[in-house]
Amino acid sequence: MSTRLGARTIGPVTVLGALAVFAAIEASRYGIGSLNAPGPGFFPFWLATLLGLCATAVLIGAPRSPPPVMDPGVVPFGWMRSMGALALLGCYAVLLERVGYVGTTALVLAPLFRIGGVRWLVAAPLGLLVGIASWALFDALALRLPVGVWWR
Amino acid sequence: MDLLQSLGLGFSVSLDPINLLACFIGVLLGTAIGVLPGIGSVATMSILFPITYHMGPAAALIMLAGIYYGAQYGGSTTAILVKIPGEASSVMTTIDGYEMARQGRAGVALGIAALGSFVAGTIGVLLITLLALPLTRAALALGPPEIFVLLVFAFVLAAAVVEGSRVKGLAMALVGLLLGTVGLDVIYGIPRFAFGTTLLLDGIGLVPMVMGLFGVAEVLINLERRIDRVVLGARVSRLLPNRAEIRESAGPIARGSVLGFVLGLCPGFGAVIPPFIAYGIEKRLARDPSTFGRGAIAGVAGPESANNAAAAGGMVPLLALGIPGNVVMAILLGALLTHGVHAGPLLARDHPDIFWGVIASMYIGNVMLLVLNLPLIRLWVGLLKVPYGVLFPIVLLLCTAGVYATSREPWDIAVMLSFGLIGYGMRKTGYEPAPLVLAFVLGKLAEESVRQSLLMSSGRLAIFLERPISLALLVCGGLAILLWLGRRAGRTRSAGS
Repeated sequence: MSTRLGARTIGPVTVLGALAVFAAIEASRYGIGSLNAPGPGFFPFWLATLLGLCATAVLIGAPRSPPPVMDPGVVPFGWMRSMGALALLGCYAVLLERVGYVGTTALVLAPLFRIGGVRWLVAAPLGLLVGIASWALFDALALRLPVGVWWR
Repeated sequence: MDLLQSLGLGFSVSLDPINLLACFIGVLLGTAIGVLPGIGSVATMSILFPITYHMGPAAALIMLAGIYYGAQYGGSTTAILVKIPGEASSVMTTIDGYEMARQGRAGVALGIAALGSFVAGTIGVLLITLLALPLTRAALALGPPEIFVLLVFAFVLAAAVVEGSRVKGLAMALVGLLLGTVGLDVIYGIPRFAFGTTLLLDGIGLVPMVMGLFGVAEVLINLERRIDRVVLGARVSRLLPNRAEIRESAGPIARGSVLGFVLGLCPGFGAVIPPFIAYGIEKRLARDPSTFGRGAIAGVAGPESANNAAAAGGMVPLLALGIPGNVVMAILLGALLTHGVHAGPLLARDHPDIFWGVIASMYIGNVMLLVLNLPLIRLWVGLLKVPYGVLFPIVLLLCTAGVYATSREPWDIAVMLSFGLIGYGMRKTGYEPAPLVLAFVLGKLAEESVRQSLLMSSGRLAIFLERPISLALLVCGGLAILLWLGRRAGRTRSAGS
């Protein structure tokens, strides 16, 4: 049983269980009401209760469920590329309104291209080119994007 | 208005130059993203969602629908030439389609996929035309109890058809419903789960959620995988199947079309499950089942017809009942709501131009796809050669800029990234995001209908059993669960023996 109940089972079940408990407590604060006068907390409270039951069912059923199939295409430390890309997008959110669309896009896209295996010498101008071209495209589509406070 | 008059109105709307252009852009983009593995139709529709703000509701819906059924066409090209399904609905085509390509029959495989898709798409649209109005009239008889039971039925089916554990699917539907309660309460106006911030008073945005769970998460998963593509594009010749091949494919195309449409009507099935079932049926009906997996043309024709017909069938519950059967339909519903149009039984009466315009545009879109798909095959092959390392930063950029343009709030980018991380974790641990999004979109309607039902009956739960339609739906839902439990018990017994 211990081999099956790995982090891939325990982790999500813990998150679901915690979400259920939190939602039930929070919903009861809004007022559950009664069946003939359901309050604002009525629906989320019962959803949270059912979610808690589902999390328990996943935990109970885990030893009988088939073992997870490992993806043969995953490369070692591949997750670092994924998390690196996510971190760069986080920077994008922070910089966008300060630096502006074209500057932020060039700054963030160059390392993203690099993560994808493009050489720096190509990645940097490609990032700038995509930034300018996509600005023109979005402008034509009437999508308003920030020019950046530093350039005003 | 009778059927022919309504359809005439639909064609006059869809032949308007702006709507015609929207249809063309939709099917072209849909085919392109269907061809490219790693970018799904859901992500593309989400990316283009903000652009539709500047269009009329009919043009917006025509373009988004075009992307969806266009992607079903495009997905087969990658499945046949690279053995990677461009769309999840093309998985079965990889088996015999790629084998045909290896035998030098790539052109015929592509040709029969396009022909089957065209026939199935057209049959699907014909059936929508015939079914939509009667269903719309019947839907007007539904009250809050029937709507609530119908939604529960949809959630249970959506959870039941996910890959892997059904309980996990159900848990995801419950999380989606819970996330749908964030924001102001519909009756009392009390903020729920807003944590004192005004950013959550309107609830969580559908666009950042969908882009995160599907667009960003898909890229994050692909980034840690090795994507090797061997494109068999050089061997594409003779696109038109000969008479014997057409005769061999006619049955599978007809069966796939009807099966796909019927399954597409059911909530949760989308265009993914029907091709699996169609392939199984064709293999069972084949005179020599051993040819399947070795380049059987029926193994391409059946599943390809089924996924296109299912894409059409999925439009019926949305247009007639206002209930999206899958994530794609949920995005279409979101697009309508953004334009202040409520999908559902009153759509045909209040906005016949949108209702019939979208249906008529699907006839035109299917013709456009047939004309586009075969001559442009070299272009699609060229597109397949773009390395993923160049493609994914552009996809991420489109997601981020698209989300920002929706609200001009960097907060929404943060929401999208959070859901991207959640979606990545969900894929890693075997939880499907589709039931979550479906339940999220329908959450408000579900809550309203259950609270109204209880108020109507002074708190008696028996109201759900007393009304015939509601009772019939409950019996159907119960039977579906019993069937699933029975099959599961059967599988467990056979595994044990």
